[in-house]
Amino acid sequence: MEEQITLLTANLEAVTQMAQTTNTMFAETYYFLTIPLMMIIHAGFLAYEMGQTRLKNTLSSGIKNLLAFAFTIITFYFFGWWFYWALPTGLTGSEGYMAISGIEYANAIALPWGDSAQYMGPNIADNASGVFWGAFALFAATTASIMSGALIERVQTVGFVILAIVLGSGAWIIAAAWGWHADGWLVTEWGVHDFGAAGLVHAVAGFFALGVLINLGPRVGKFNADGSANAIVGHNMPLTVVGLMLIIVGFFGFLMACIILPGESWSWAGTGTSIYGTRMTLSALAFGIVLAVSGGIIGAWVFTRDPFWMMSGALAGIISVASGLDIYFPSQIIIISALAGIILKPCADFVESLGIDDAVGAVTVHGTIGIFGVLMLGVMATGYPALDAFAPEGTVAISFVGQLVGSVVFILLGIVPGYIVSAILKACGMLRVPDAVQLKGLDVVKVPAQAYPEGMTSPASEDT
Amino acid sequence: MFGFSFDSWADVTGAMYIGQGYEGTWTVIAVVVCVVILAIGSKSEQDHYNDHK
Repeated sequence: MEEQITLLTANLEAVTQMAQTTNTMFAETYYFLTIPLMMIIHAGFLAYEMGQTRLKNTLSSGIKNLLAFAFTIITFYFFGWWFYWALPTGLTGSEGYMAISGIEYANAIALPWGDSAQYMGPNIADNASGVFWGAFALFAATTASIMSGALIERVQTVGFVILAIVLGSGAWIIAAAWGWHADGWLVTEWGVHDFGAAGLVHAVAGFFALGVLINLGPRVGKFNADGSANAIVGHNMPLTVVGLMLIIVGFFGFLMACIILPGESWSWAGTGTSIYGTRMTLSALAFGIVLAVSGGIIGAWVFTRDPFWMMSGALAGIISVASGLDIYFPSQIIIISALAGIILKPCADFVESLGIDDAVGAVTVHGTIGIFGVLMLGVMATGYPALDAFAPEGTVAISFVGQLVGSVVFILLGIVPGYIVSAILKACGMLRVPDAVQLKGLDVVKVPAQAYPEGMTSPASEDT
Repeated sequence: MFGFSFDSWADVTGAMYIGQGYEGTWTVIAVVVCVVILAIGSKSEQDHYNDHK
């Protein structure tokens, strides 16, 4: 009998060990796969922005996207990841309640040198750091790319890369530290809930773009002397629309990466949770994302039959409910996303009426709708706990005031650095492409390749 | 180039990569490479614009 118990105990330990290994490998694989899924977002941005560009600027638009991605990812490794762990409690860099924040903690795990380098490279005892870093790096590159479309056809390449670094490895990750971290002061003091990053990614990027646009100015020929605007049409609407659909495909990866899986030492609970420790499931996202896409398309259709704006409506639909995708009832999602689609085009027209040339409507789709989404959650979810599994005593609940405070912070974290850095670049002559080059076309001046060397017309078939 | 003094990778129980102990040096070189590339890119871009003003 004693032998059998000993044997059973040994077997149980072995099975437990295997189950833990399987869980660890599943968690690692889960986050790893969000990374290529988010790469699809960048395939989408590439297609969408090149399609929305006039023929003469097609390739330079694409080059801009490639470089923004590359430099954002690399600088996020150098210092962006450190910001996320160092600054949750504020610019003082002190340690928070969960003891996973502060400058000392960030120095220990997020720098690619010294002792912390063990968590910034291959480590057979660490199946988490790399995949978390990878997912966040793709969040960063996505944030930088959101700004990109607004500036096409007149922003200089290197100037844009610098702006992308400031946004992707600086501004947004500070917003994430404050509003998307267990120790974030916006979370612990104001109950901000922004599960899918409507504010801390989309609004920050949208308003950063607005700050840049103020200094960058419009494309040559966009506005007439009387202030009226001319439509500058991209050369390939099918490419643009497919690109937008690819962005939406990639957002499944973005949003599934926002879940904290169970069963690991870094998990918040025995179930899946949001980054705030509030319990949730992937099924919630399955309901929410596709309904939000649909609601956004339908809403945009109210004011426009233009497929560009209908697909932008799809994106706006997701963004409008992203803050609460973990907890909204699906019918609420239909209503909110449709409303976002309805207000989208009028809001974009308003921005244009101010003399702002936002070439793809990024300020509206991401900035205005992002803030709309953060505030709508304040309307719908007031009173629900902002934190759960690890809530410190006295934690505030989700509230409209809290979401409003978060919105103001996200707007400022976008527009202030966007305006200041672009003003510096402008003073250095590194922001705007000279008007003469704009008129001639950027590709012919600085790209040693042709977008369509054989033209755009297919020869008639001889097979009768 | 190997930061470890061991005969087999099987001895490693944690971080395992080439150049361990010199991570900062490699990182500084990587930063310099990126900055130089950006500077060269900027110079090239301005030259192209100046040729077409």
